[in-house]
Amino acid sequence: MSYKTLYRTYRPQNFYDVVGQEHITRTFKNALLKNKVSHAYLFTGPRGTGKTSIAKIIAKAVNCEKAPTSEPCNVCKSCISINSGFDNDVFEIDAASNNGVDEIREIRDKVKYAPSMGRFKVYIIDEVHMLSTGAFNALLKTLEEPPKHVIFILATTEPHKIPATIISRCQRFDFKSISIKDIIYRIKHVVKEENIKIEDRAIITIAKNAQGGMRDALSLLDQAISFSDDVVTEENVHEITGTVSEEKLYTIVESVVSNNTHQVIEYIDVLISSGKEPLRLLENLIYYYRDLFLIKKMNIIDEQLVMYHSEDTKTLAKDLNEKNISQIISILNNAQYEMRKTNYPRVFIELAIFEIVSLNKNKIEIEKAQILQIKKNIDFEEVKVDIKQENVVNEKPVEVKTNHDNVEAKYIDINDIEEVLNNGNKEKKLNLMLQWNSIYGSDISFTNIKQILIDGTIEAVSKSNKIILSYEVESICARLYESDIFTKATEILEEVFHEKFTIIALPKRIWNEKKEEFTEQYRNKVKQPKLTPITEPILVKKNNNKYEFEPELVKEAISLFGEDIVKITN
Amino acid sequence: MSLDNLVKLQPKVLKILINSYKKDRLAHAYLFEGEKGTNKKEVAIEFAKVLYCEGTDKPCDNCINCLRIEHNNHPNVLIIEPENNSIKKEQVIYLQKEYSKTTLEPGPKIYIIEEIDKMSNNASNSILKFIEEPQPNTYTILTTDNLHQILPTIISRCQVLNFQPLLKSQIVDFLLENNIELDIAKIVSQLTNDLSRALEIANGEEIVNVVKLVIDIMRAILSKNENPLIIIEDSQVDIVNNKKLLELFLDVSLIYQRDVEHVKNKIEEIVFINESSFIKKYIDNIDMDKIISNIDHIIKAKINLDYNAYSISLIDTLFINLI
Repeated sequence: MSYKTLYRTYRPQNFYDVVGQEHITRTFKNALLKNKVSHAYLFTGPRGTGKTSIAKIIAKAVNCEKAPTSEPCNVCKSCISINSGFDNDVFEIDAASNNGVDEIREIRDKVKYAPSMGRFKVYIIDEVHMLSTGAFNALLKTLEEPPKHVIFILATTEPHKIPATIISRCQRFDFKSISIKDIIYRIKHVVKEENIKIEDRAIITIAKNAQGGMRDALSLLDQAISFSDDVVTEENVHEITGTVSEEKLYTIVESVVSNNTHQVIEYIDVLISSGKEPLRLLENLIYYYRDLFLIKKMNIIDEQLVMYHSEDTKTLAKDLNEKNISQIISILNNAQYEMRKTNYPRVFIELAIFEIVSLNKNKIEIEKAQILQIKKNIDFEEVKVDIKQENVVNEKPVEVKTNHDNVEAKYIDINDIEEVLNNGNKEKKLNLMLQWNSIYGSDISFTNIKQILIDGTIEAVSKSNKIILSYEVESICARLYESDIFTKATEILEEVFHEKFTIIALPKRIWNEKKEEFTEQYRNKVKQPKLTPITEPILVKKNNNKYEFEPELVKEAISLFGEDIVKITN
Repeated sequence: MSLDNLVKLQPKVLKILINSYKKDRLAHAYLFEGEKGTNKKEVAIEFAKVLYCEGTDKPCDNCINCLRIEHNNHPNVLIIEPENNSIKKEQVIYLQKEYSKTTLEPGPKIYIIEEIDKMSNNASNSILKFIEEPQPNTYTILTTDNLHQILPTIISRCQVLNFQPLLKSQIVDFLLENNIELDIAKIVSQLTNDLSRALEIANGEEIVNVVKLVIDIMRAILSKNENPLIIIEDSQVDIVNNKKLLELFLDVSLIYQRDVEHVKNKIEEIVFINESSFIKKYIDNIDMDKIISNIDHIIKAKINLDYNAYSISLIDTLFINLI
């Protein structure tokens, strides 16, 4: 007799042996004991969770000599004959190979005959999702009202492929993936029975790698036993699965965090030359980062969800920032995708590492820039205070000189925006919006300025006739502030609407920020919301009055070649 | 290939198989998974020989059984390969029929199904049941180079043996044994994982010329002395009109750039061993971002080449970006 793999030898023979499916075994034990077994069941769930096993146990239990009983005895004639797989009343049908109407008809024709030995004929139809549509429909009637002595058990991994009419005729049981704890428990049992020496950590690693399938776990154990010399070690398991242990992953990520590129590359080199596959390594890294993310995000760590959760990992997670991790994962993901297509998986791993490290560096630079920006703001506020004291500017946008000769920075006064937002007038806004296009009018002069006005979106209008316009394109917004254009634009508005308006133009981006800030405060019931000042200046070109006097031709030329090239001569 | 050689190339897999054999723990179904050129089929055949060999030192490669398996003539060893790039349900049904028959000769039955990822969905579902609980004394070996395309239910029923790609050093050793010069051997080892393919490239005429061209061009780019496009014009290697050469050229360039990257990061191990001093001399002129973007550009060029991009413009764009 040849060797039988562990997962076949240790197929559960009674409900007690089934792990991880208490909700199902309990239902069946009670149903069997009370003689309330239904005529059709549908078992669904991922691979290796016990669908076929439980089906067989039920077949034994209903036919057992001791029935009604909650567990098959496994010693009576009937049980033994079913265990051997040659019983006349239990039919295990492989629906994938027998998926035609003809095969189902054959079942239908034979169900009516009474069982030869036991009380019930049990049809276990495995991989039932592979039946053809015709076959499913041929089964419907039989499944709904079979003779008293028949039980159908359908098992599948892909319930979405089963027609609704079949599902509604069966009692459906969803099998859960088996938890790591349960797998460990079962492996320990097997190891004890088989007299195998194995490290506890090895068992845990096997359980994690099985991803919820008991069969996968036992297969792995089988392989590990064959691979190991005497005692099955954790390293043995890692070698079979090609995975990388948590400590090693920690070392890599730790060096990445501390920007030690050199060390990371060397370390990866060592791993690859010791036989780890680059693709697997990358996959493990992605999972490691994913777990770091989860640990960071959730305070309570559910060992079911997280594969890596040693103390080192947890401390590492605290140091990282969430946004950064998700960026890193997407970099690794891209690398993984690219890797499948080429012959140089290593190049991609290395590239990914460099990218991640440079991400860290960029982050530092961005932080520096932010600090500088804040510093600048502080300076600016001081300047503003000075100006106010001297009463030079009142309520008007404050102008601060920049380094550029031709450009001046325009800072928009947040008080203006606050005022508009707090004293908004919906009617006026609606009116303006409806008539906005009439700015064009019949007069063809200053079309460029009119165009700038029309390009803006009216965001808000105050009672005191202040308009907030937002611009997708910041350069257009800046042009509106050029002094000549600004005055002309105000004039045009007065001409068209017969009222005086003050224009406040903003880039869309800034407007959105401010709007959000405002609504946030408004929602929190702040009566007169105060907004933070706008720190970003709008860069406006100085002394540019040529637009006003351009004839159409020149304008056309500028739009074609750009203003740098076009020169106007007499 | 003899068993001893295979043990050298795939130590892990062979250790599992041999240990299982010795401990009498052979599983009824194995899934051999690994890249092309990792000797999956060879291992499967040796596996069959060991089970049948009548000699003392198994496999002897001399007895009738070994010879028949070697020549694919053994009635109990059945090999199924994809027909027209896919394994169809009919083939699986034929297999199942064979399965149900008793053997003609004493001994186990062995089924080898190659490239199981090419199996149609129908066929894969059909073999599920019979891989799970076969007749006693039958062994099934499935091979694939694409584990991700196989039904998880099949994978979970087999013992998955992961075949590692050859180590670069193994390929180099193999090429050295075949009288290839060390520098070329190192470069070729990066290009492929398949021994026979590696030897083919190394023995070809093009590789030496292409390597020389790459060195010239990369030196020109690093030292900024010459225009690489002119070097290509002058070169005798016609990468402009020969797509295969262009591909090889890009591959070798990529290896060179990676060396530059390594030197920049002070990593000793590089492929172009003779270039080390030259690169070191100019390494301060180039910063890390530029090196990464160079590698990116070469990879992009490779992808565009796969899309049949026009080679002249491809080369021009590449070098404008690299300079």
